[in-house]
Amino acid sequence: MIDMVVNSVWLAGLMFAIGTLGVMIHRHPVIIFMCIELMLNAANLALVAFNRHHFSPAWRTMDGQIYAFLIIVIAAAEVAVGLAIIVALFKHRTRVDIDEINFLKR
Amino acid sequence: MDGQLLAWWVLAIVGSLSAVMMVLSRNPVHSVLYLVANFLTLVGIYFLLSAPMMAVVQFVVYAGAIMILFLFVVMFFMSPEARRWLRPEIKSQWVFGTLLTVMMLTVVYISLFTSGRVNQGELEMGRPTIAMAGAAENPREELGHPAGLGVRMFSYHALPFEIAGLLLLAALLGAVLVARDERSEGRQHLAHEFEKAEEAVAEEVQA
Repeated sequence: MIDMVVNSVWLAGLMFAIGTLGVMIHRHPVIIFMCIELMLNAANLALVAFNRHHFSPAWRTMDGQIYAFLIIVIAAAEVAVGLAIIVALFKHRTRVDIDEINFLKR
Repeated sequence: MDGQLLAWWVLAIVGSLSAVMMVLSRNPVHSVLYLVANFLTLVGIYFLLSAPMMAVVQFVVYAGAIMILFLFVVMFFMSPEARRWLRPEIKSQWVFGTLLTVMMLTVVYISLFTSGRVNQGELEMGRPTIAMAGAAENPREELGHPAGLGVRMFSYHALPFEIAGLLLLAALLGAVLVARDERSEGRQHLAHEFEKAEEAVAEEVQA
């Protein structure tokens, strides 16, 4: 069973790296935003795996899962605001390119 | 290899492949669907890590609500001829992005490998197995039991919970404020100007 916990942390590292790759090679804000979501989920997976690792009959902790839960709440708020900004950008511009968006005020 | 570990490997391979396909896909709708597939594999992995509550939240909030938002934005605002923006403009962007990612992955894996070796004795000594994690006199004390999570959340973590609620309210207002249609306000403003002009003309005619 320890295998699964350790492997999950390795998988979290891999997923975080894939998200970083997407952020760096893409130019579209929506895709970049999705890659950031992937990185958040990698962090969540690591938290849950570490919680599984540290849980023992002597110390029945669940704080890792609670942190992951709070991260999901924060991510939901972040997605709402971020997608609102992207929608506002789509309304004001015909060309939405992350290289050209360097100011938010018209 | 037991069944749970086998299931973990299947989920992990499918999840990694879908994450890679999300990054490499040229069609943004396909990207969203690959990300949903990745989140669904995470649901299974959370179940295997004895976090059923997290798995359900991941399923409902992430794979359901958040990805629907993404799908809406992609389908409403991305026209098919927008595909050309998906290609990197600078050719070396691929090269440098991949290089930096491989470097970061190497650093993370080296640190994981060394810390794993240091803790190996601790790993093999008396850590609970999956079967043991569920064995408690009080079922509330099992790992990932929703009742235990709730008690902990509303006692020890009450302040972060309240702050998260406040943040959600602020994000709700902020999203409405940012995404509101300013053009309709512009039309209202124009209508107001029009009324004033009409009044002025009416006054001049009377005079």
